[in-house]
Amino acid sequence: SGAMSTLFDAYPQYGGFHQQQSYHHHQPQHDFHFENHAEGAKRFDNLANLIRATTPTDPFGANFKSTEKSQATSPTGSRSRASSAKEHKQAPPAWKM
Amino acid sequence: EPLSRMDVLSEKIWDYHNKVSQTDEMLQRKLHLRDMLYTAISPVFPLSGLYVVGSSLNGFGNNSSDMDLCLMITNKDLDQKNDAVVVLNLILSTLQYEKFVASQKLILAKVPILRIKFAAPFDDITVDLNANNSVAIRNTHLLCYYSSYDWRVRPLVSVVKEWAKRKGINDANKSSFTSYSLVLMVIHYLQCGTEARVLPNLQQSYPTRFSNKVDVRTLNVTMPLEPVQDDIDPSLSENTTLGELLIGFLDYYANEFNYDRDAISIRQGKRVERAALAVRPKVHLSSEGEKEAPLPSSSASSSSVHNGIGVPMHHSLSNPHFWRSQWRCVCIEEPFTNSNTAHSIYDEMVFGAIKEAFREAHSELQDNRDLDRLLECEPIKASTTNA
Repeated sequence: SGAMSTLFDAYPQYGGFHQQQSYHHHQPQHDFHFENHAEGAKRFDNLANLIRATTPTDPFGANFKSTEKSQATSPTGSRSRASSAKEHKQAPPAWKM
Repeated sequence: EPLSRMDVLSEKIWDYHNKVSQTDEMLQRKLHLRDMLYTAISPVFPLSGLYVVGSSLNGFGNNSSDMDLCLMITNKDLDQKNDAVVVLNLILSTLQYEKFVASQKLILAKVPILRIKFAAPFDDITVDLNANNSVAIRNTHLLCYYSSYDWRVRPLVSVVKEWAKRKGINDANKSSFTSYSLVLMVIHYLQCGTEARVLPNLQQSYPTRFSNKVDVRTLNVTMPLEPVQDDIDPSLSENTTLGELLIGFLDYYANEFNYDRDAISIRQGKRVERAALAVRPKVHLSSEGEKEAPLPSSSASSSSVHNGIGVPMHHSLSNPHFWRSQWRCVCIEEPFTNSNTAHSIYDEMVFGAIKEAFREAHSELQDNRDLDRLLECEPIKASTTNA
């Protein structure tokens, strides 16, 4: 529980919270368990690749093709499945961080 | 003849979507800004993670969307009423020395947020930062897979959002819909309001992927959905054009959906009786879609609520007045917390105007198939008593 006291000691002007428990710098009542989320947050950016990989460039034109199969489709063809979350099989390259 | 007119409408919807949807360049700028913020915050919270959540990353963002951020520091629930405010105040005091930060404001809502504005060249982006509200990460993840499931979902949402904005019914502070609620309404319609289903129930079809038990750090964000047995028949689903889906959406909420009887549940993939949702108190964590919505009573802090039925609930959850007002007009179940994302619609006048807006829009688009005319609408005229 030492981590939190360090954090809050650096900002004594915000000791006004938890007044009913009378906040003391060396007796933090916050029993936080810090977990490492640094990598998880970066990894989450990869959703951007899912969005891009499932966006057709021209769903009404002849150029509309699947990202995986090269099936050219007409506007009434199988356009919706051509790029869906089910079909881009490769893990896309990592998004910029 | 009518078919070709429909295709013009579909292409117009697609073109409009492309005009307004978030560009790669905008996303890159947002991620860069997030990195700058993280560099400033990480000395204070060294192990934390700064997640981009909401429309910037769920697939439903447009180029003028704000950026919602979620600072994760612990896997435990962080008490939003007290501890989250302490955390956000710490960040506020840290960021005040950064030249790229122009102004900050702590907004004390059910989920408190720190609203940050920036100096040029980032003065066009506003950040809403929450502390450890992990539900926002889960529903961003779920919505992103819904937005990617079928190419028609995102353009449909783009147009519905714009119509609602111009109609003045996309504003939680004026007792109407949040964007999040509108997205859930579109998904619900595509799950069970169309002749052939367009969207499956992802939480049912992929229970481990979208479980609210799984650590947010291990959510699968790179692998496409493996094929499973579901009741989507692509050859049937694809027969409906984008234009028909928009008309069908307006028709569904104008004429088919029974607001008195029905509630929207994405989690169950169907209409459910609203009594089933409203009567029995549920786990009531705060969610991304509910921030800043005016609340008839103070909300429960997540740490004081337990799972299941028959366990002691926070006082506001067992208060019958709270439940009546929370579920009065429109019932949209949040897919992870089971609270009502549309609880801000508790004004009967506004509710009536919203239903009328759907009826008008439907007959207008049905008759003319003209997207421009649909979007040239006047805002609803309803005085809100609780705005």
